[in-house]
Amino acid sequence: MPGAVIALLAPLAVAAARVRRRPLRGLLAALGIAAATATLGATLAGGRVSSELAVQRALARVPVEQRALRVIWSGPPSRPYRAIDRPARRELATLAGGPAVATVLYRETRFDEGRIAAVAGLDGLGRYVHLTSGRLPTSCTPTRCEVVQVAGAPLAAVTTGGARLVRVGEGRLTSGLPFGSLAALGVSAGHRQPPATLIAGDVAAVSQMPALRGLYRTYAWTRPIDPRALHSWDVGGLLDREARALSTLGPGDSLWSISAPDQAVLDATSRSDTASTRLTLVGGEIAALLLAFVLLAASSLRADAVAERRRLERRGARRGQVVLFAVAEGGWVALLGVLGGCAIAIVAGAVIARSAGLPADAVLRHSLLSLEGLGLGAAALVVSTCVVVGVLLLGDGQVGARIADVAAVAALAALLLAAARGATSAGAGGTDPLLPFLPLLVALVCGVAVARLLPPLMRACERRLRHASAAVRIAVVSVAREPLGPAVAAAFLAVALGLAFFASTYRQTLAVGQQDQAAFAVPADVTLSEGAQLVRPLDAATLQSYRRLAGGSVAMPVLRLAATAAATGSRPADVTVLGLPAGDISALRWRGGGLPGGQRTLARRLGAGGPAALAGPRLAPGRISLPADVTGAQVAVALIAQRGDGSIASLSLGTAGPGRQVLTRRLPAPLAGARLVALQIDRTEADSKIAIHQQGEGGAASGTQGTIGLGPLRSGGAPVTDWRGWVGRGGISPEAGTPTGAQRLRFAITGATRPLLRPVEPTDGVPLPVAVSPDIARAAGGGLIELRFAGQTVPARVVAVGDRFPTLNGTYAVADESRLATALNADDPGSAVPDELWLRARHAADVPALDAAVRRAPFTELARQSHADTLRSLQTDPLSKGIRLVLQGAALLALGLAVAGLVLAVAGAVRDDRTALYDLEAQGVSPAVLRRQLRFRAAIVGAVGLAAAILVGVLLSAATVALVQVTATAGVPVPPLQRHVAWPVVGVGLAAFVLVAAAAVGMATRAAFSAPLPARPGSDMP
Amino acid sequence: MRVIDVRDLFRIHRTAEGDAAALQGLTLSVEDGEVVVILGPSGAGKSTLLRILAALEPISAGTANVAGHDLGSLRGRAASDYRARLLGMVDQHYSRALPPDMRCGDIVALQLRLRGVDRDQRRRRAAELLAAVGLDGAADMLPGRLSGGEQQRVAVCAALAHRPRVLLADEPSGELDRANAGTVYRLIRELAAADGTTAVIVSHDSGATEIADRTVRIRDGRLSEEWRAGRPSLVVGHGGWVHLPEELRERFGITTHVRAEEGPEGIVLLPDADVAAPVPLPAPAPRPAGAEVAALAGVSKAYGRRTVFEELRTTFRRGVMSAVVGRSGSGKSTLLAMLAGLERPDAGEVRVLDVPLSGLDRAGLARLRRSSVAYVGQEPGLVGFLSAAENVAFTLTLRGVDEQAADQRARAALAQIGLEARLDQHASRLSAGERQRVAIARALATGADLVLMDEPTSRLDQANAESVAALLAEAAAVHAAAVVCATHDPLVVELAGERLLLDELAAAADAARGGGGR
Repeated sequence: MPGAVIALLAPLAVAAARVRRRPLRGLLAALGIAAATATLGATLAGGRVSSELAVQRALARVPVEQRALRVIWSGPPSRPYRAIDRPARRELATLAGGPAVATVLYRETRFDEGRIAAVAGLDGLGRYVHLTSGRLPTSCTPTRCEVVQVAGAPLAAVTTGGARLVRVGEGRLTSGLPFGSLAALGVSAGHRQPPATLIAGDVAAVSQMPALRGLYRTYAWTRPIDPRALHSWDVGGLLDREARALSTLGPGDSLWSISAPDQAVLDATSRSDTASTRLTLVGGEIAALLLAFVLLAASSLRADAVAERRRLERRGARRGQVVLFAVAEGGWVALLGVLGGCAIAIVAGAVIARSAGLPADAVLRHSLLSLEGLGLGAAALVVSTCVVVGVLLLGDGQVGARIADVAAVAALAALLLAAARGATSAGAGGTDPLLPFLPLLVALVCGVAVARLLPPLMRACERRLRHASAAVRIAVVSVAREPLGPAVAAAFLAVALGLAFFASTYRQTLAVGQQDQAAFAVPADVTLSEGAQLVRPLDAATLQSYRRLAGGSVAMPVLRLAATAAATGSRPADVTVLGLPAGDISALRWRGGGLPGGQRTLARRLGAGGPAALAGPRLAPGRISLPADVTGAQVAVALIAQRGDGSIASLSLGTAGPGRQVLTRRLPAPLAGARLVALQIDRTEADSKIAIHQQGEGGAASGTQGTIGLGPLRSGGAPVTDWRGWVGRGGISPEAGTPTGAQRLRFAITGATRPLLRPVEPTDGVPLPVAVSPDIARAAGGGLIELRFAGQTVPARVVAVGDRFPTLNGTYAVADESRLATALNADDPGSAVPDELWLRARHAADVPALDAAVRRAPFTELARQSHADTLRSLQTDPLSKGIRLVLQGAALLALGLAVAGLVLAVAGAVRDDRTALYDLEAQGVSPAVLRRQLRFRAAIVGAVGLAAAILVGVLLSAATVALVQVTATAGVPVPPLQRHVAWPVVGVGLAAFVLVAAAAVGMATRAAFSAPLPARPGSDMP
Repeated sequence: MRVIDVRDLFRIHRTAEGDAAALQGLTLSVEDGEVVVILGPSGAGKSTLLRILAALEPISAGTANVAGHDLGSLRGRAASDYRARLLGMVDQHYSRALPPDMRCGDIVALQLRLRGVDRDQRRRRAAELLAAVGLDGAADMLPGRLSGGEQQRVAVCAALAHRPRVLLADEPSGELDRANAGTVYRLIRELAAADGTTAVIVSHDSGATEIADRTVRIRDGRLSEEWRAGRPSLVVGHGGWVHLPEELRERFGITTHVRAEEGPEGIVLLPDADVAAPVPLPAPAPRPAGAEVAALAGVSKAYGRRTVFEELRTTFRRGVMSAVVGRSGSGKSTLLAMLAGLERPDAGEVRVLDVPLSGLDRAGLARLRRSSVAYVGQEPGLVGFLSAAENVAFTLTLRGVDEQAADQRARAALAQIGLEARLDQHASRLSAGERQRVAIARALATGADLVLMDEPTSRLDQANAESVAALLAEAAAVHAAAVVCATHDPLVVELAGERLLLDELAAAADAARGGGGR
């Protein structure tokens, strides 16, 4: 063997001899490394499990008709079915396994009988149709094809081009899978009644019918996607295969397309990528903490290894040989730890996967045993070797301290840079690699700061404690003058406890953030809005009915309107105006959102003056009569009345032409007792058409002008109003000085605004109190703004400013519903009708009953959002659960490590100071005093570490919450996250730490002096 | 041919408590193959000189050249190569110098291996050396299985295995008894001579001078005296500095100033009467002596199968300094530890001031030590982060002396032992000899009834050893303390009023058992 090789291997022989003699010398450090590796590995596997569950959940949420892979050919007939069926099936097979369902759907066509029908074909029809009568088709020839009708008015048979489609059965489709979103069979857009839909049972046969040959059609070959069969790691491959299949089917052929729930899967994958990256990073932070623990643990190896290193140096070992020795020494410990950690991680990963119902082998193959996992293992080996070797080589502390200083300065610079860049959100989270490392950077800076500040602090204490007891003095002096060990321990405690504080705070922040998100999306227990059938909540039931639900609920009619308002800049801002009963604001699930004073103050400000309602006399049942004397153009006269439920109805009294007349009409029963809120004097229908025509021709529409004298309105024989005190709008203006008993009005109707005569309303001349977003508030002069709705303008006064209001993000204004509705309905009755209804149970226990009640008729036609469902969905999201679990684990682990670190520090002090302790005892210091001084030393380290930890935790959580705007489910948080400290949890954690640490330190110090006599250091020779 | 050439060498150690000059213009040259023994008081800079010669410590000023290597510019790989090829080093602490996990054969061969020598050559050389020092069968043994003397012989072999040009030995007999020390020195001489190795040996042991071609003394970081062929001469250093040995100064009444006058054969130095000499402190009055302070009654002690004492009976009385004498491993340290209540006998009773120690628990023993016993171990201990004065003062305050008085007494005690310049230096930054003196000062300052000293002069030069021995004798005589010294230093033995010869006791015990031996 060449001399150079022998020389190179010499340090390895020394290291090997040491390992042979004491293989478990670095057991504690190896355990730390194992724990770090296991944590990292388990987090990686856990991240994969979370991703997998997220993709499954996202897929499961996709409607069944869209949750499929579908090869589609659409177009006019240009080639035989067989020519497209074969490649379609072949390519579909490359995308997913299992049988394909073939369909054809023809464009709706008018048959000879004049009936419009949609014709389709479906292989395996029986699996997807539930027959209500007749039988399934059994034959399909070019001239006669049996079909099943699944929608539309029944028709026995239709004929086209000499071919007959014969209905042999009737039924309905049991699954949307075969036809998917190609057509909502039976509910074709544009039809009030769905057209007759006829399905043949053989796609190939129906395709060959000459009579249908000319029709545009769509073929589809579909394979459903089992949410459990599409794995997160397959998503990229699937997209690639889709692209390949499409290019294979017909390069440049736009007739082919492939349909798949790509977007849903991609969204889930992207979200899970963000979350699992964050999981890995949180895991990485735990691992870093564990490595810091390794640093502490490795220091127990230091004295021994440094002695060996010095022996080598004295024998002329070169630097390379010394480093090789340290690498071998540290590498063995690291290898032992990493291998152990990998084994634990594999077991943990398998357990996590199985508990989530996923195949453990597949999860492990795509996490720990993937290239990424193996790379992570290698990185763990390298990093832990570096840590241990660093401790062994830089054992004197000075170089290590200098490196730590430099690292802390760099970390501080990185933190400042991150702060300067500002916040990032889920969408931008991947662009700033600094932000996810915030905890590590803050911990590093604070840890080094603690290590640097402890010695001067203790020196100051040393001067003040000159007359303290022997135990206190020894403890303080030792920490002041030999600060390396205590400073490292205090720094470690600061970091560990700080991370525990951060983890619990961040977990609480995310949990509260979820509640905020749920409350923001659904601020009551249930919100109802107009559904697909265009039924509004107050159409489905009266307000009183809602209020009776679940033993009495708070029912809030809500107006949501679009408006514009002046904002900063020249262009007006689009404003969402929300009206809800001011008195019910305090019943919302919402914590103020930055609005000053909270909900009660806001309710008081918005509802100042009390609820408002349209004014007007009541209409009695019976005949209505209105004397009218018109000069000029004839006009159409109608009463506008508001029913008890708040809805507006118009009752035409007919046309009043020039001259005197009495307009009469019987009041419809539903309007009995309704409040007359306006009299509309408008153009006649004929005049309106002429005006519209004239405008269409480009000319100016001629106005409808004249005067009308109104006599008293009588209803049920009783006078209702003589119109005095009523005001005109939209070209109606009362003339002054009319004789008693009649009201004369001038009218000049242009059609631009609604021509009305109405009572004075409580909102007239009173600006509407509104809470607005800051951009609107900035543009408000003297606190007044104008909200411009379609056709009318409402002056408003800003009474509160806040960043957001539940369900509103961006530019908004919130007002009392009754005042907003009154202000709008006054000049345009019916323009402000509540389109949402928010329900809140009186008691928390009634929420499930309320939730259940609105799922039943007559509310089934309404769109419904449940707060409980929304919150549950957020909380049970696998990503959310994963991140919360990791944070919880991190907090517990950090607490455990903090205790272990403190005990290690005590053990290190006993070990390093054994000569001094022996000497002190030999001089007569009692073991009790020595024990006390060790405990006091631990208390100093613990107290400093704890104080610094709170600072670390507060800074860390504040910085993280401010700079990383990502929810627990890796989405953009609306409203933004706000830091929440779970003080009870923190208190319990700290108390547990103090108690356990005190017990552990007590035991360690007791053990150190439990022998009947002190052990003579150095030698057992007589 | 000059192998070592050191000129005007300075080495300043910078510490938080102030700078300390370990070497102050030392000049020394050593010829090829020469064996030079360096003597000097603790803190004189002997170990620093060796570390500089080993390129383990930088030079503050001056030059040092070893076998053509300028040590001032030697760094990194060149320094490693220099140590690997040219140097062999023997340390005082053999247990620290030998890798505990390697076999002795591998240890001896390690430096050859680091240089890339093949296995056969390495083994041959290791076997040859171990055989030469009488350890033929030790090649496969771990050093921990050998006695101290044997370990130090292995260390000498390891230092010479690669046939170094220069051997640097720092107190190689510091932890050995006289017989083992003699063996080690003889081996160094023989093995070095066999390969023409130049040797520089730092020692307090007069035995070392027997193998020296030349002996030099370092004081205050300078070379002060030299003995060549038994003839002493004072060394004139750079700039004409000459150090007058203390005994000369005392003998001729020279205190702080002298007058130099021309005489018939050269310069005559006369004390300067115009400068007042410092007034010595008045000696305390002697106190009555004689009462028993400590006693061992039928004490037996064994470590595993090795019996150290058997039925040992002896007493230690006030006003008497007792010397406990014996070879390494004879139980001197154990006996002192038992008297201090830091070890328990397997059988028999130890009594201090009529208190049977077996009746005291660990805390009670500490209380007894605090009130009546002062103990200085072989490793002087001390609390590293306390200064020399604080170490002494803290012990005094433990014994009820108020802080101010404790501080004054501590400073006086340290000044008495010649450490007034090192009062505020942290104990961890003192040299081994200085730490030992601090520990002795601490023990004496307590005025304890029983003063226990384990090898109190092992790290001290002759002058300091004499001074310390005198102080111990004074403590016994004047303070009526029972002073017990475990020692192999004839100086201490000579001043001792009583001697406990452990080897003879052991031999007698063997004889009583029928000559079985241990």
